[in-house]
Amino acid sequence: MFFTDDNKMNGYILHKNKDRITFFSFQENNNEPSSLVKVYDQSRKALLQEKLTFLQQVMLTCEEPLKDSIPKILDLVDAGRYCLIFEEYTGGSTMAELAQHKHLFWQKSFTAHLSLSSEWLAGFHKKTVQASVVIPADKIAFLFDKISSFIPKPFVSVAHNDVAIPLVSCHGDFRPANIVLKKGKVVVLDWDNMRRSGLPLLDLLEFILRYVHSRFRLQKKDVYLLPESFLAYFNLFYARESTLSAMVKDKINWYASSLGLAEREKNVLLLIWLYKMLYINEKDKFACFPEGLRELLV
Amino acid sequence: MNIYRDFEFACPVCKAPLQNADFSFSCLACNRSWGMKKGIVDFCVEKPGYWGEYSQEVMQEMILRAQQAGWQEALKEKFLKTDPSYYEYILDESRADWHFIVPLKDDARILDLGCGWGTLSVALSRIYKEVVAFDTSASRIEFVSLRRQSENLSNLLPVCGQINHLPFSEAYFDLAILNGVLEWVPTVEGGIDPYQAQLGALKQLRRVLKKDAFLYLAIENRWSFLNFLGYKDTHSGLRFAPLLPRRLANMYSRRMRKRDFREYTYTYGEHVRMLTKAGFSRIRFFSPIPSYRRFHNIVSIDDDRAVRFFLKNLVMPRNTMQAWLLAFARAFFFYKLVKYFVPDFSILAQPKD
Repeated sequence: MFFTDDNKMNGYILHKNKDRITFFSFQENNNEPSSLVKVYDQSRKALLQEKLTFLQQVMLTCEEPLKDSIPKILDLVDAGRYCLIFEEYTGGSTMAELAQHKHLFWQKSFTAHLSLSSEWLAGFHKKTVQASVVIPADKIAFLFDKISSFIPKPFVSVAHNDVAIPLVSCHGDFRPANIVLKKGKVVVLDWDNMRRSGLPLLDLLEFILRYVHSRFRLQKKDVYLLPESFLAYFNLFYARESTLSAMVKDKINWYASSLGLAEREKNVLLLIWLYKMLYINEKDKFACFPEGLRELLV
Repeated sequence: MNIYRDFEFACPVCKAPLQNADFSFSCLACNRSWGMKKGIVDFCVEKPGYWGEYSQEVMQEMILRAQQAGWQEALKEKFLKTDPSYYEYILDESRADWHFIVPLKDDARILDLGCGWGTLSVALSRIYKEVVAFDTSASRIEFVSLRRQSENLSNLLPVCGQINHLPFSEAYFDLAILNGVLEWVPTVEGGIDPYQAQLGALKQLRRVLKKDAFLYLAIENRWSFLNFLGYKDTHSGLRFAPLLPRRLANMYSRRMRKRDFREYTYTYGEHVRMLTKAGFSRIRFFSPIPSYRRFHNIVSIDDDRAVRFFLKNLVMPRNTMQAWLLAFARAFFFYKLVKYFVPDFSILAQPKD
């Protein structure tokens, strides 16, 4: 439709995502794509533009490891019913690919990737901290009850009084396939599901879940579909005692402390995540602070 | 109401322009006339064979229900419980997303041959100026017509007819679609040699396309790696049948299912030769993955770099078998051969000058 120029007709890949299409186009004498073109529906343009300007503003003032850690936007073009975003191709390999080649030593690569991404995430979240949201004690008790029906011996102890949690900007789809390692530096792709204000820690938990899922594939079903299949992974990396879960807990604690979250705030966040995954996941898979949860908690 | 008021048909037999009377079309050159049934024009010259996943009786039942309760409701009742993936398949308009690879303007005229449930036609008629949904099966066309009415798509024209007798004048369309249709042409047309039937259909298509128009042809690959691995052929249900020489496949088919093997698919080279013979040039090959019915990716397989990048970055093996296949395809120079063994082809071709 917009590739009317015959030269561009040569090499490209059309890749369908949930609500956009990505073109990887290849030009002369280059084995890697020269750029990406993302095609969105025109109705999403305003929201996208707002997100992009916000992100650029945040990234402008950043230092390592956040500096230059999102792909550059080259152009934003209107094309009738569609809106095109031309993006620089970052190169490098995603963590998902790297993990694929290192199945034997996967725990080693997992440790390395987890510390890199949690470092990046802590940096980004610190940069975008906003006012706190107060979650009343009775709502926490409610969450606790709900979760106990899935996990008979609750692994978190939650103090029964109000908890204030700072809001941060969330990536929303922070999975290994969206994180590129380029010369040891992290570049984060796919900002379609970014929310200006969401809850901290949820991005990190998503990363861990996806990583463990891609390695073990305990059940054929997608980890999001059934509570049982989700819980199998959760047991593996958090609930059960093992070197893996000890390492994961360590990282989560490090992340929480670097954001200044106390123990019980961290536990409440864990509860919220479990509730999201077990009860309202299908409705709002990517949101870090889904509407359903917002109505329930605040 | 006559929905074909502003449309000019040509006689399917002698190709002279047709006179549009109130509810019929007549050819002054050969004195034939074609009538309308339930508001849909029927240009079938002979009684064509029927092809469809479901029998004609089931289709009739569906249409009756659709007239009463709406087409969505009828589909839901029929398929949601028994065949949910097929239900989604019929409703999924993103199956037409391949149109992004065709350099068309918004005022393009499109011919969707063998439109089936009309999903592609509906999706494209939301974007382009005029779409003709064409099928041999009157019941399917009726279903498309119901879909058209409920969605208010006045630029979508359902037409019933035969692929070898296209009722359109020369050089009329900017794009013709054969999405999973060419392999069924011999079965529906009957009679002549399958290859000749397919070639004839392509030649007919060539006639109605403009000079700089496009043909989009989506079809299975004869040398698909799935065939080599012994998966059942999706058309005949016979393992290895497409790979065998045609005569042998015919004997095999007669023995196994008591009828001829007419569902011909072709290899990369055979496609090039057939399309060239039918009067097409500038042939470009793509591979829709995992299948042209519902794809997530379309890779231009004529370009090694695209194939290599795709195999390296966009495929994740889901089991050991896939991991082995992928390692094989990625290794050494095998990615250069990948284009011959992909499961399906999407082919873009333009008429020869």
